[in-house]
Amino acid sequence: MGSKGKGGAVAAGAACVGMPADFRIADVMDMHRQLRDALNLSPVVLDGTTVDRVDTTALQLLVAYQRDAQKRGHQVSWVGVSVPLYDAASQLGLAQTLALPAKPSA
Amino acid sequence: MSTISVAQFHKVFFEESLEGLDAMEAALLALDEGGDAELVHSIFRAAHSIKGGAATFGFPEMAAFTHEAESLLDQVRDGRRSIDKTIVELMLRTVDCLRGMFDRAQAGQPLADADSENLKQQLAAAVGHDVPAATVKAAAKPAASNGWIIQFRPHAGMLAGGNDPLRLLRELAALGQLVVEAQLDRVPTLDALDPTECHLGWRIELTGAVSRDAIAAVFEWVEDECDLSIEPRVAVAPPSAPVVEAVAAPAGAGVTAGVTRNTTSSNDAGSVRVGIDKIDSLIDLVGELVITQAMLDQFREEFDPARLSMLQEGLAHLARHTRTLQESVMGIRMLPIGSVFNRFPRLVRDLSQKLGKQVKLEMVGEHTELDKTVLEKIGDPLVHLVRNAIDHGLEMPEKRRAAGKSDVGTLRLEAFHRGGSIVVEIVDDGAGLNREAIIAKALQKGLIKSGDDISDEAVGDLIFQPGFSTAAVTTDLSGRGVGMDVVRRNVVDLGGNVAIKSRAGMGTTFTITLPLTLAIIDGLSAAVGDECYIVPLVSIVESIQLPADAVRSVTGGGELFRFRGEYLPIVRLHQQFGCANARQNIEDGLVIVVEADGSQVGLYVDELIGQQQAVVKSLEANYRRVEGISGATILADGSVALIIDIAGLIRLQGRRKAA
Repeated sequence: MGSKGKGGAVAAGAACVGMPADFRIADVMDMHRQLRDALNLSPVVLDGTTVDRVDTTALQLLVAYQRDAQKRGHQVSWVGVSVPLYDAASQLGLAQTLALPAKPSA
Repeated sequence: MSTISVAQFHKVFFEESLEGLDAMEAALLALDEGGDAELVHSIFRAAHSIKGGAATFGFPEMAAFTHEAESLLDQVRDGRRSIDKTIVELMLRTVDCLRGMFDRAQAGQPLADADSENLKQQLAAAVGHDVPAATVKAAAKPAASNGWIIQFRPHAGMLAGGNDPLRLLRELAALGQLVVEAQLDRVPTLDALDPTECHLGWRIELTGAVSRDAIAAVFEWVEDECDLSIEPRVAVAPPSAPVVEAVAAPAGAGVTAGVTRNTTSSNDAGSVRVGIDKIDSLIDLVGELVITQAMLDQFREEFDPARLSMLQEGLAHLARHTRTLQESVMGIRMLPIGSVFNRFPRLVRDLSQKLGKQVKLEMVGEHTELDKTVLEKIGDPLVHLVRNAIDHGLEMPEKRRAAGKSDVGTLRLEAFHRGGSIVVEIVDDGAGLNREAIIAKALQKGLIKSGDDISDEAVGDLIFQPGFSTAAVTTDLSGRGVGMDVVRRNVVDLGGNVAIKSRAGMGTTFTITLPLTLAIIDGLSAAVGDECYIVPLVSIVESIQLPADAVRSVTGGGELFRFRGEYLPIVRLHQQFGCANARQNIEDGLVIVVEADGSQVGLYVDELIGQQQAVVKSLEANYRRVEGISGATILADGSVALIIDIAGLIRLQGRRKAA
């Protein structure tokens, strides 16, 4: 399970799932485990603010998680996203699907 | 890749696509009569190849058009839609429309026209009934500018292989403006997901003046690891859209976009696709020739009379191999007549439906090979004869029933070898020629003076007279001014002839006899003064020596002689062609009786030299057209001999007599 309570904007009682700085295929198995665990929790906030490097596997994982969470009626929101994460999601046409917050100023 | 290097493949693309269309048409017709699923696959494959080729070779309108047809076929293939007469009809019209597009592409004209746009809309509408709204929206969306639609679906293992779609999309973004639509339908649940596998897909619209090659280059390293299609953006554009305009511009008009296409359209020398087996046999033969040459080469250094037999054997080999090589090379020009026959199932289907007749088409001997030139020119006469047979020959079902025949009329097309010729027969079991109507018409036209005692053969011959048509009602199928006289003339121009045999109530048979090839003829060489002329063997009836008193002079300077009970005119070739030092007395030379178009004349020559095969060289291409001469050939001693055009000579003789 990811670090809980990270970031001040997180709603009280919400579980927070943080993401590694290098969120790419090599580390994706670990995040897969964390997100599967997070599926049992609601509400959940995702923290993508520290992501420096990201690839398609990471975004696909987030898509699968969010879709399954929504199916269960869970609430998922974002603390924030880094510029690299936002750009990658936009490039792959996934920014809306992932309901990303506005792009942070660089 | 430069545009010119793409343009050089256009011809092959056209040829292959037209073959694909033929296959599509044949499969559609088979499907119409209740075929299996494999037929749908083969139609789909043909459409898919054309679409891919059209997009690759810069024919976006054609690609867009075929895309709609392909979508419809895809629904049939997937079982989302069952095949019915409407779809077969729609697809047959698509085949016709694509043929028209290919014609226009070859002529360098704009591909899209009102018909194609209309049909495309119909196809899109047909597809739209059962497809998700997105597709319909895409088809109906007007194309604002040039651009591409890329369907990119990575295989599951692509990510693990180190290739990240993110990188590819970034590279694409550098080419132009992207609208990316992610496809999530295959992403499994989080539990079932192997995060290292890729389950996403993308539909990407790329706007900008980008070549297909530039896009393909982005995907070059992953082409085996993904499903990829790159299509021009569907252009439902007004006729004045930039794409169409660019293509419409004539060569040299300074519109760069139009130039590439126009470079290929003119000076089309034609081409032949040759089976690899024919090429292999040629290579074998050339190998044999090289061996024989090496063998003969030994005699160049030292000639030992004791080895004379070996020399003779070598020369015999050389002669045999040269002859075989000649035959094989001629064989390259030979193509199966099936390529002409292929158009008839469709023609017969459409015509019989239109006329409310029931017709069973039988085709025999499609593999019979004909010279390419003959093949290209025999299509129209055959179409005319087939149309005639259905329109005039075969009766309506009720009339057939009343005559005690089956409701379904039979039309048989048969091709076979006979002697040195190819025979094509068009046989119907219809009503046969209407003898009375033909005689009445001929009397009315003044072609004959009396209708009595006319043989069936002569009656049949009348329909080949110019301007002859007995059709009481001129339909749009036949009787359009292109008469049987044109059919006969076309066939005669090919060195062949047409015969007709008919029995009232039983049917009609048209027999077309054609030479195997136009490039080589069997001829008899004859000396006339210092010159040598070739008389085509097929025209020769007999050669005779005439005594001086056998020839009668007639008023006007003509000469006649009696041959098999008829008086035939004599054509003195030395007078005809102005040859010096020729024999003058009739008893000193020979008369070759020749026949063409049913007329006979005697050609007076000095003597016969011998029979030989003559490779025909065009006189027109190398000098100019000369009446009475069909071409030239080069003799063994290197001199040139002219080949006599018997039909032309007889026409010339007729005009002289009339003058």
